[in-house]
Amino acid sequence: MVSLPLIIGGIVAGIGILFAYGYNRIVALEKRVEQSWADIDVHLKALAEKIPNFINVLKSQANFEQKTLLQISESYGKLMSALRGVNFDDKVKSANEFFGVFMPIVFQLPQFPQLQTNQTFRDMFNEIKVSIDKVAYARQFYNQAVQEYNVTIISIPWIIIAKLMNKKEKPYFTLGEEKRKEIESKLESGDLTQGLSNIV
Amino acid sequence: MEINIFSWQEKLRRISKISLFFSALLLYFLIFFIVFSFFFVIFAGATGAIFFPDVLSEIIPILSFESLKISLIAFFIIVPPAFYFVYLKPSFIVDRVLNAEKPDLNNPLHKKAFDSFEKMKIAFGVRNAELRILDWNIINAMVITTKDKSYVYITKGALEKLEMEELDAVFAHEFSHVVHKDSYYLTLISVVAGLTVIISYFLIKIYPRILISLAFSASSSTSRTGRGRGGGGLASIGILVASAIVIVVGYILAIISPIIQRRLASSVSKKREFMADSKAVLVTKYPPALISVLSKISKEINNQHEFFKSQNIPKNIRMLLFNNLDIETHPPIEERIRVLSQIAKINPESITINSQ
Repeated sequence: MVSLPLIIGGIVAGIGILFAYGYNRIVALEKRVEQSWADIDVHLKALAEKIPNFINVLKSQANFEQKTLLQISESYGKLMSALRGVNFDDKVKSANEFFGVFMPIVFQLPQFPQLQTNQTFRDMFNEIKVSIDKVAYARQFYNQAVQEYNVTIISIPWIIIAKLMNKKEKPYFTLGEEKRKEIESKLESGDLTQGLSNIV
Repeated sequence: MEINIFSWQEKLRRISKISLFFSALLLYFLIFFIVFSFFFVIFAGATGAIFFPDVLSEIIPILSFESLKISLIAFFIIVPPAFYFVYLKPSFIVDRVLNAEKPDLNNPLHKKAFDSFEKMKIAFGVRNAELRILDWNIINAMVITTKDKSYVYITKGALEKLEMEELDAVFAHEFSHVVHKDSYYLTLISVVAGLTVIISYFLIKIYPRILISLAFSASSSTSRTGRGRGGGGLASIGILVASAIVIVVGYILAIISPIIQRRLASSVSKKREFMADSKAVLVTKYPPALISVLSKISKEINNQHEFFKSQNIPKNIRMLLFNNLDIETHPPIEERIRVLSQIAKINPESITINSQ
């Protein structure tokens, strides 16, 4: 004959184990997101070091609108201060914002005639492209980790534990992906001469 | 017709595992055959001459303790350094054999290779890898993997003739080998094939002698002990007939099994190449680059053949390289291009990759 206290004790122990497991799982996934961001961080800083110089060359070489360049410098400043800070979400958000402005230029630059004629400009552009590729490839692991984390904290039963731990969804690192389709469609339609101001 | 990349990879993985299984099975069968047939011969002799137990004492000297001691000493002297160099520091040997050099970042060509290499290191999450450059004028690349480190070799010709995207594809292919642990597969299959060859040699050259000397010693021992001719004759006839059967079967096995093993090894290696191709395409997300590399290689295939004939490259290194004359470790280029273009749903003729 199983007594009532034994049943209640069993249920409590079961819930305790479930909570411990869920807590550990969420913490482990969160750590993995942070770890994979640290991998991006290295390459992002390496890229960020090259950007002020690149903006200067852009100013002198390509006929971009002042508004665009100003926007880039502004978001670049934000990105740098966020990277130096400690707030994780801020880092990702400001990086997303920066690449939202910066990537359209990178997508369009191959079409500019100055790139074909000026050797130093071309070298610099290639270097920037290599750095961006590094960030882009490192991004795959980060976004995978974020996806797993985000799915876990909104699925039953972990959602209860996540709510208790006050965990929020982590942002994806988009690297200007939203703008890419817009620009690619423009490139296909041959609408290249209008400059960047309508897109950015 | 088009190929679904994931089911294609799954199929390749399955087939390569099955081939490996059969290859190991054949090896076990050969070992089993030797052990079993030896007892079979003894048994045949023993049933012929149940009264001659000293036949066995005549066999023992063949497996003498002296020779065992020598081979043990040789084993312990040779194996540790061989293990160190082959398993832990293969690049030490390969670098010297192939005259490979480390990339010099002031050289624009090497810089290009290094950039692409670093990108792919990040893309595949391979932490510990080194780049080496070979001073050859053909397009080729290979990778050597140890327990915790991999060495990627690329030729100077590849750096000159390929664009950045194409180099990415080449390195992606090589790093796919790393993440698929293909060097373990290749080592395993070559060890199994090598053991098969050794056993075949044993079956042809040594095993018949053991059996024949066994038969002779059986007949001579019977005459020496002088327990009567009839029994001794029966014993040696039994052993002779049994050894004749075993020797003939052993010869047939020894001739067939290395051929089968070679087929299996080549099949496994080809499947792993296809897997590496599709993984490279998945990670770089740009199939045209790899297709264009392959078509560039197919244009200079005659140069490659001539180059490999003129160079004296050890066979086990050439297995890793793209062009190998005697063992086929790589699928034919046309086949690879066809599969890739079916995966990517593009026409290989229409691809042009130009530099920025």
